[in-house]
Amino acid sequence: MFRTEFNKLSDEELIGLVVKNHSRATASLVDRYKGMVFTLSYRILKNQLDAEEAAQDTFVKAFNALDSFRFDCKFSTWLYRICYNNAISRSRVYKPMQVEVETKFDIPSETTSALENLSTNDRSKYLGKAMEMLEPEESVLLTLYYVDNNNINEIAAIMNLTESNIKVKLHRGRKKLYTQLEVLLKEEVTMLF
Amino acid sequence: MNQNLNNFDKIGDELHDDWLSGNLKLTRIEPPLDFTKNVIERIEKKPNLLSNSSIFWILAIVPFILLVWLMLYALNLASITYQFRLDFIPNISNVVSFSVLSKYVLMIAFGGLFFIGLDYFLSKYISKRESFFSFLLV
Repeated sequence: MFRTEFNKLSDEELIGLVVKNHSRATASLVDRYKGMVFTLSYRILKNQLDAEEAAQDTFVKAFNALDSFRFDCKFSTWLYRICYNNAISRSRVYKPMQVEVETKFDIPSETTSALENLSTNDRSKYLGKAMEMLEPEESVLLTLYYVDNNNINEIAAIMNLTESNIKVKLHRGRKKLYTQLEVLLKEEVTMLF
Repeated sequence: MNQNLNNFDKIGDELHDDWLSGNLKLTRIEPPLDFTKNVIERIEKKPNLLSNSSIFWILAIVPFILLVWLMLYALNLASITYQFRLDFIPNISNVVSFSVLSKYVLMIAFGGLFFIGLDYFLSKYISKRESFFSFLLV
C-alpha cells in the first residue's frame, strides 16, 4: 500500500494498523496531526526547539498508550489532551515569557479591514505575533476552536475545563487578540510615517 | 442561573467568527521536515544489538551461573534449606568453592568466545556461508 493510500484511511483504520506495528501507518498518522500538535506545543512553550521536543514526546506517549485508547472520543481529542498536558508540564520547568495585554471590550472592525489589505504573509506574521502575546491557555483555545474547528465539548475534554469556562475564556481571548492586533498595526503605521 | 446560561449562549453565538476562522489558519506552524522520521525512530522498538548475537548468551550465562551459586550459598548460610525441609537441594556451594566456580565460568566464557570467533572466521573467510551460531540462535 502506498503512502497516499494510507492518507485515505480513517483514524480508526490507521490505529488498527499502528497497533500491529505498521510503520507506514504510523508515519501517516503522525503526518496527519503533526501540524496541530506542533502548533499547540508552540503556543504553550513559545519556543521552536522545546515545541519540537514536546510534540515528539506527545506522539511517543500516545503511541505507547494506544492500546488504552477506547475510541470513546475522537483520536484528535485524545491526542491533543496528551499534547496539552505534556506541554503544560514542560512549561512549568521552563516558564515562557508573558506579556501583559490590556483588553478592550469592543472588537475594532478597522483592525480586520486593515489586515485584509495586507498580503497573506504579512497577515500571518501579525496574527502569529498577536497570538504569541496572549497567554498560552488563550492561544491554545483559539487554535483549537478556530484553526482545528474543535467544538466546545471537545476543547473542554482536552483542557479539562467546564464548557462555560471555555466559552468565557474564548470570548476573552478573541478580544485580547483583536486588541493586540490593533496595537501591532498602529506600531507598524507609526514606524512607516 | 438562567441569566448566566443565557449569557453563555450569547457568548457561544458571538464566537462564530468567519474572519478569525479563515485567517488564524495562517498561524498554523509546521514542524521541521524530519519530524515524522524522528518520531518513527523513537517509537519503533529497536532490538538490542546484542540480543541476536552469541556473545549475548555468553554474557548472560556467566552472571546467571554466579547468581545461582550466590543464592545457594546464601540459602546454605542461613540454614533455610533445613528449616523449610529443602534438604534435597544439594549443598553445591560447599562442594563447589567460589574459586573453582570462577575457574569454570571463565573457562566457559573464553571457550564460548573462542568458538564464536572461529565460527565467524570460518563463515566469513573460508566457507562463506551463514555462521553456525547465527543459524542456531537467530
